[in-house]
Amino acid sequence: MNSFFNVRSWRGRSLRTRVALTAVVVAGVALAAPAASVATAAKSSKPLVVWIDTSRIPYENAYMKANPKANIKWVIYNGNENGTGVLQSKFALWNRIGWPSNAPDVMFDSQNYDAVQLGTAPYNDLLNLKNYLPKSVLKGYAGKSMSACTTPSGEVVCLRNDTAADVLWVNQGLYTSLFGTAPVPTTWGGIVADGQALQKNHPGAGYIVGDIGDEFDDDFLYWGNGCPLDDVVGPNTVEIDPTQPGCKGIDSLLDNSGLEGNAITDTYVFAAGGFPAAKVVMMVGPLWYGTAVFENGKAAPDGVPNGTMAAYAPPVSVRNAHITGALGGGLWLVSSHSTQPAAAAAFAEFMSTSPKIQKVGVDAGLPDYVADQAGYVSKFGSVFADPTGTGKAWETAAAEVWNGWGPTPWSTDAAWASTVVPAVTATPPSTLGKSINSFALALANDARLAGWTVKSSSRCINSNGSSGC
Amino acid sequence: MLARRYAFRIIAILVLLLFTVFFFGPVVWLLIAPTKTDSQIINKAPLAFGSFTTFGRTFRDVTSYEGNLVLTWLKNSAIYAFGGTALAVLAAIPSGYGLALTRFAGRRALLAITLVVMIVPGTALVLPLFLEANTVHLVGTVWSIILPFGFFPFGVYLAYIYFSTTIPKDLLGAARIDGAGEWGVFWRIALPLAVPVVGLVGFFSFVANWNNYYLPFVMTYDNSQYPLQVGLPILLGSSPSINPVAATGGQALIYRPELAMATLIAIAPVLLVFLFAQRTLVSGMLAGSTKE
Amino acid sequence: MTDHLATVTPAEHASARRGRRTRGLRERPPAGTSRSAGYFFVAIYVVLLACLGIAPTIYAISLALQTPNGLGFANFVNSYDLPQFIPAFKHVLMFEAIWLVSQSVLVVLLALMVHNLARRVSSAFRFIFYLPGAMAGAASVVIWLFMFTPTTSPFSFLLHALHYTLLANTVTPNNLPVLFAIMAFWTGAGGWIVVMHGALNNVPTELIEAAEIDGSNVLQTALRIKLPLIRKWVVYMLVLSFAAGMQLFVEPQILGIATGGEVPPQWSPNQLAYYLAFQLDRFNEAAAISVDLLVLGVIVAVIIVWRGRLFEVQ
Repeated sequence: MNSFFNVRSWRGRSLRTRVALTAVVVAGVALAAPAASVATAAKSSKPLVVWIDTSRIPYENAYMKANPKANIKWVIYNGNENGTGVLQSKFALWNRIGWPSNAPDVMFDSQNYDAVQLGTAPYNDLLNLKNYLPKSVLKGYAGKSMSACTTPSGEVVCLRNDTAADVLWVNQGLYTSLFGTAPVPTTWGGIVADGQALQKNHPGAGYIVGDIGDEFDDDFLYWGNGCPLDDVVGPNTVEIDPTQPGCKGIDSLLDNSGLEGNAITDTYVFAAGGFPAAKVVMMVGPLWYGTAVFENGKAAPDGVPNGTMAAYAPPVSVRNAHITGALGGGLWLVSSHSTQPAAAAAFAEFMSTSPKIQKVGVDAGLPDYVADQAGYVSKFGSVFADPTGTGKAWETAAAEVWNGWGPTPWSTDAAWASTVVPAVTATPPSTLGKSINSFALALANDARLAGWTVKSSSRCINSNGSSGC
Repeated sequence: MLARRYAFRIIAILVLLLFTVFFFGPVVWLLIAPTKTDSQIINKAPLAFGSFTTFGRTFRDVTSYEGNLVLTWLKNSAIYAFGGTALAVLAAIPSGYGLALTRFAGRRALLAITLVVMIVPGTALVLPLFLEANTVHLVGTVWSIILPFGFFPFGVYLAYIYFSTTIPKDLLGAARIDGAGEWGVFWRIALPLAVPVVGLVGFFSFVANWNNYYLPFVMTYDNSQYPLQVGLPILLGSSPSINPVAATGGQALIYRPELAMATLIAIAPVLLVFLFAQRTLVSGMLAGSTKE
Repeated sequence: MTDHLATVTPAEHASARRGRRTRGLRERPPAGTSRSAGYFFVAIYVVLLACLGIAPTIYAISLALQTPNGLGFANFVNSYDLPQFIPAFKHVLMFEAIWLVSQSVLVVLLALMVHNLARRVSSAFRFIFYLPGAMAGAASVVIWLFMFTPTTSPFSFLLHALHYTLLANTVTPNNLPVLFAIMAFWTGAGGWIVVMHGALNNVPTELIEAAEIDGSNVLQTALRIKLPLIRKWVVYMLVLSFAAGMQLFVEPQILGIATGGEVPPQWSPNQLAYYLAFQLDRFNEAAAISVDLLVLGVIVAVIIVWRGRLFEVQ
């Protein structure tokens, strides 16, 4: 490319030729932008600084294999996980004192509510990828999942890495032995009915059809049923309304189900010796539960053998909508302070969309980029019962994730953990219906702390908890 | 009444044993936990011993995590703690001497300010310190931690009390008459006699520095800069035993035994220092400190 | 710079008490001393004091007073109006109440008991009680995390008696002040027991003997003779612990990480300040809360130094 701008060869040409050449160059640059940028990154003397978490190390290896000459400086950090706010605090610091030369150009972020916060005021630190990537790429993601990357003013400030959509996990063998050839439930009501049958026909066996006592169950129960407790309806405006049918529907269904012991049997049951996959007949959970929680495909006694668990399409919501919740799923962020924005954007695109990366995957995250999903399923789906069906269920679920939950700069799980979990795991346990107002209030307080406006038709929320709760 | 006396004694022993269990029980648990596997921790009795091989395996898991990250943290803790202590001693001993045995304008004011600052808890100043370190571009450097650690007004106060009370004035007077300059008096007379207070200031400073969480937490921004105290909660958050989302991606190594092991590593140095210092501190210096 | 719960630990105080009452500090400089030598000795410390004690305080105050409309108290008002502000202070005051009351009673009780034992036995008990002080900070929270989890704790029989089967049961919002009081007591009590022990050593033995001759039993001797003479130390313990306790940060922060937010990230005032600064990039309001806590600490410090006559300024 440099030769086009070589002054000597430029001078010799007529104006028309120069214009034509320029047009060709520009067209060529536009069309070849990603590849060219990656090549540029490889050649430029300043490395591209990329922050990843330990789970993405296989991605790093795959990238360096595909681009051996790339000039990348890889830095491992904690992925901004679990509300540690590493990116927030760094960006806040650098916004004050100036961005250092070793600041990251591209970051992997495991918190999918971060992008919009970091891409809007007071941060404004993320690149608008609409200016760097073609529409075809930006539209290639599952369902409405890119809403987590879109600011209220329409900027696209991140790319999704993987999706953690909720599916219905079923212990295939166990289900058949208990229910024969009956089809797996497709609604929440169906799940409850099965639970009631189990409780009646096999009392004391401890079979599990779901759980409400964990710190993120709001992502399955409320997000998956279209209950607006985290619905961004405008810039810095969130709807938090526990009186809506999506909320009341799931609450009354579960509270009146008569199912006992909805809470789980160990603290954070996902440790060894905790959640017995052998007792789980079915459970709504993110698609990474299959390996990470039920330990499908791991040798006993740590897990269950291949072909035990299968994923089915998530249950239809209590309002009859084909929506589901999600728990997790990481993002690729590009810094707006990068000195190589095109290269950084191209890099992020490569990581997020290239099959070379996404097929490597990690054993728990379906790529959000639809074109890469089949490859991932063929590699990682084989440990499950009915790998084809499981893969299809994953893909279906990924496209059904409801876009009415977030992204807001606070964690709904933390509010759930401090209000509902203590209530429903107490002895004697409280109900979801009695706890939802305190959950919603905690969310409203988080919103107000962040300076957002809360829209609600609930008297409890609008009166700040002083009446109607 | 003799019987009453015995009754009191028995009650006292029982209560003391109860509190021994309270204070010491968790320590015993901590020592035993790394000898068990994760499922053994849940399924076996809490204080049941596991095996030494498991202990070795746990140690290896923890120290090899993410490229020996825990050992990097240990190194950082040592750098911050020793660096801070060195600076604290360097500042506190001469200052204590100066406040006690020399006279200059503003001495009483300095003493008063020292006393006030000494009582104000350190955490109140961490955020302001961060903001200040921001403006001089020190955040993220080793100095943003060592310098605040070196500011140890309590050490100054300790040295002040010590020099005021244990250095015989005639000794100093004689040395001065002999023509030794102020520095000479300090260096050749006072300092050799100050070994105990150097030890004391060093001990308290070291323990405080090693266990400090908030300041290094705020001042560092890279995994590789954390001391152990700050790294420990990071391990907690990366453990599938605590945070199930961390189980995604095949790097999960840190379960309950590893967390206990990491905690053990984090407290081992201070524990050792306590053990060695216990004779002077617990029995000697402190018990007799309020004696006339 | 310390941040474990008892900032200036009692052990540190006790060792500072050495020789408090000796008179003999001169008022005039010894012959031949140059005045400027003093400055030289305190130089390093004064620089540190100015840069790391005075300067950040002034900077924090100035940040807190900066508003979009010039200098004013808007940040103090706005932070006060946040829904988490008053609950944060309520939480910490609840914690303080439970902690300070139980700590005073138990520390005095244990100190009296330990004081009556044979020297070596007494020394052993004091060491055991003092040992957890080495684990202050994040380590103590991780340890107690396992103690509070019914499936791993050696105290599980107690937890089961309360119908707790999950960590989530133990760490319910209402229990938090008690849990933090337990942790604070565990790391801090030992040092204060050592201090009280030292103070008890100062009680003139003639008084005790006289009382015993008069027929006083152990309990009465403790209550009527010993207790009043160590009262001053109990007051110091209360006041110093109070000042340190208001700054609570590490324990709720880490317990919050471990429970996925069951302890909210703005539970204590220091946590709220941190959250405002580092999660929401609102440093002015964070500075305002820091100044609130600073002022509280300075008031306590001034009270002790000026009224308490604990430290005699020569």
